[in-house]
Amino acid sequence: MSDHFVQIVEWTFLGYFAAINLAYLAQCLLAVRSVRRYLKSSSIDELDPAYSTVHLPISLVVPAYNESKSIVTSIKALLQLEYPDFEVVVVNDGSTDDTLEKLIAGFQLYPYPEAYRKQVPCKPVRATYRSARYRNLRVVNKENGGCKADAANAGINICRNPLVAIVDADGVLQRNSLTRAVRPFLENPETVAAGGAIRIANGCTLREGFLEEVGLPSNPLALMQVIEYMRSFLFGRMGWEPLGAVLIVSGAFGVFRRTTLIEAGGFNPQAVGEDMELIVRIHRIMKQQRRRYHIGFIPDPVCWTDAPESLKDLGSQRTRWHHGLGQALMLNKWLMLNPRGGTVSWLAIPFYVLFELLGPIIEAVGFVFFLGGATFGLIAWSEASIFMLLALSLGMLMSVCAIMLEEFSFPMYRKPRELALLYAAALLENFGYRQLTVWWRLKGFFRWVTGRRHKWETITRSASVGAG
Amino acid sequence: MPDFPFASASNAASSVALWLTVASIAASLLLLLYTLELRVRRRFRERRRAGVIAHWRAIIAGAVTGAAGSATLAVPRLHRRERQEFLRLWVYTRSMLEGAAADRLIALAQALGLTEFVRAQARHAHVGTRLMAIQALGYLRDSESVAELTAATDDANTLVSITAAEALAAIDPPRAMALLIPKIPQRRDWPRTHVFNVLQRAGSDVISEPLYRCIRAATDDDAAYLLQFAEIAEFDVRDALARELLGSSTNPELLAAALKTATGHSPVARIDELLAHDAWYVRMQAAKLVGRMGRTEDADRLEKLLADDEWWVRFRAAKALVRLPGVSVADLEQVRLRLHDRYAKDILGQAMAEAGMR
Repeated sequence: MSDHFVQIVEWTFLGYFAAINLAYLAQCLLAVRSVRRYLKSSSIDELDPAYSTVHLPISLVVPAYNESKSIVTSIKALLQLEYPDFEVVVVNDGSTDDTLEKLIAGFQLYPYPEAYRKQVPCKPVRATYRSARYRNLRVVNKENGGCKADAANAGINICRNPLVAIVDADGVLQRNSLTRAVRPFLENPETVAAGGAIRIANGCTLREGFLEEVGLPSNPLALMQVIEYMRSFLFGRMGWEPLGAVLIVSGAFGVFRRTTLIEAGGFNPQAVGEDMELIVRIHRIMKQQRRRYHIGFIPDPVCWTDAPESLKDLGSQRTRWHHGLGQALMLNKWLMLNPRGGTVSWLAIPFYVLFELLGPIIEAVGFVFFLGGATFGLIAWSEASIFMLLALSLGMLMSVCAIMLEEFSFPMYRKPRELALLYAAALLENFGYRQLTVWWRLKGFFRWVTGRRHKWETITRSASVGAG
Repeated sequence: MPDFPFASASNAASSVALWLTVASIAASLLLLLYTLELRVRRRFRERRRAGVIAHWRAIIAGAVTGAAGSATLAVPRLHRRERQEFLRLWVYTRSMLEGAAADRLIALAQALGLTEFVRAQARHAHVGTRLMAIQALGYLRDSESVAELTAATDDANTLVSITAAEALAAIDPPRAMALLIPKIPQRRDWPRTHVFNVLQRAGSDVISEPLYRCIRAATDDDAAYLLQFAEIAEFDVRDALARELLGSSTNPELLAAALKTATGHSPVARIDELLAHDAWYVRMQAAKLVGRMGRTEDADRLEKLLADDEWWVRFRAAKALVRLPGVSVADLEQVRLRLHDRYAKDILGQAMAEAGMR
């Protein structure tokens, strides 16, 4: 290998590192600005109780597949949310366990003839039920559609309120989640969708479906994900929000204007990452129709979700996410560098293609090039070590930025030991965990290229969430 | 090249990489220190806040219950560093009180010289500080601030302007309503629920007359927008508006809004025409109004709408039908039997089930 070639490769990687980290840094700065603005405006609604009466009716759609263990606790918790006007629509997607029986017994459900409209495609509905105990609870039992998207679509067809929140059956919501999530819709009538920060529930103590005490997980894989979620939600999404280029509203909790969901055709049952695909599609449709719209994001932790604690579950999740990313971008390729697409087309989509979709390939090539080159004597070990150390230190810097943003906005982990653990995780994730995620994302990339399908994903629940 | 462990970096790329590594490690350390500082400052702030709250809460509670009524002059001095925290606590408590307790709380604030402080804060550059001060001026019923608050209702910031509107309504409701109601169609950025709060607090007797005049003088679009707030107005004003607008307008949005405004206590002209209107939302509102009117003889009108093309019209017609007085379960079953349209049958079945009739 000639010195000249090595130098070209080194400059290429250096340029890539510089570009990706400058982009992240810019996101971080934008996120700081957005969080400051958000904190300023939110201080007022802590004062006057009149502000808490500001609301729009919401339908919570809860797709459920084989959730027998936790479904009753989860739904009971949802029914206790602090919000003046909401209904809960649970969609049993042809579960093979006794999810439906648990719901019938737990909420005294009785069948009733819902004259529902099929406005977005989904598999046939077998029956609809109402609760004799909770007037705002309905359950839809439908044929298995093989994915969450199909179940969510059935819920969209049946719900009646102008706003629809899609909520994971195993998600743990804050009591005031709906009040928070509805804010972007109240503040800006052009808002068509909004999401909030999702946090990791592992290590937290739950009581009757609500969070009682925040804690960090003892499982190292879950701990690394705490840092990842901070990075992703606090400066990933918060950074894109002021640019009008939020491309993901998490499937765990997202609020949509019902009319927008119907216009967009609902969730795509063929999409692996149905949450991202829907948001990218909404961007595309709105841009194509030259309509003004806004997709909001709030930094409040609105939903706590169970993170996978085994390599198998985590690997499967990450592979699926990356597959979904590729598919969502490809299905909406009209947006790529389209003159009508604004910041979405010229910043967000190129960023996701270059740094997220192709990121693992470039990172993997880098590892192989520098480690392989040093092993076979093509590059000096000192040089390879510098580049490896650069990757490590920049990765650490981004995680430290996320921890700072967390402390700046909504600090959840108050104990000094927890802060120390977060810093340890920010350092240690660079040794093994990061390389594993690169591998899983590579697998996801190749699954997307080869077009393999995924089905409902079930992960082994951690004790904290399962205990209800 | 400094004497780093990797100082043997042989080319410029390695050299740049090395410097970037050093810079990012240094930045990480600085951020770590900043995070620690944030944490320490937050702890300190929370501790100080807790101290101030503990001290003043007892005094505020005394003022609210009247225990401190005679001792108002003997209230402790409010230190400069305590003012912001006290104001927050005062506003929070005041927002939950009316009547004599509110008067005593205002007297306490005045005894502490809070009014001058709040007036100055209302001009503060920080939006959060300004908003709290504007709210406080309303709660203090500070009539000397009316001019400033009136100007603030035109502020480009939605929260500032609507909060100023709320404060004005708290100080002098009739004067505020005469000023604010004409502004409502121009300030579509004001969250509707906030506008409802402002109007509701002023009271139906205060808002009815200016709202009526404003709606009658407005364009169709503005009138339709304003009509949504008419449900707070007095019943006779609502019905007068509905009667006049339904008799004269052809604008579907305005017709739907007027139908929504009608209480159902008075007969409405053109109801058959409106039940067959081209715009589905007019038909839907007409069906709802027929339901509110509650006349058994309207059952046939609603029955026809059960086969409407639009689900919402069918749904509202079915809901209205099952609630009509004098229409029994047996009557409704008869209606279902004679319906040929599957959608009509389904929606009536659903409405009956929801009403516990099936």
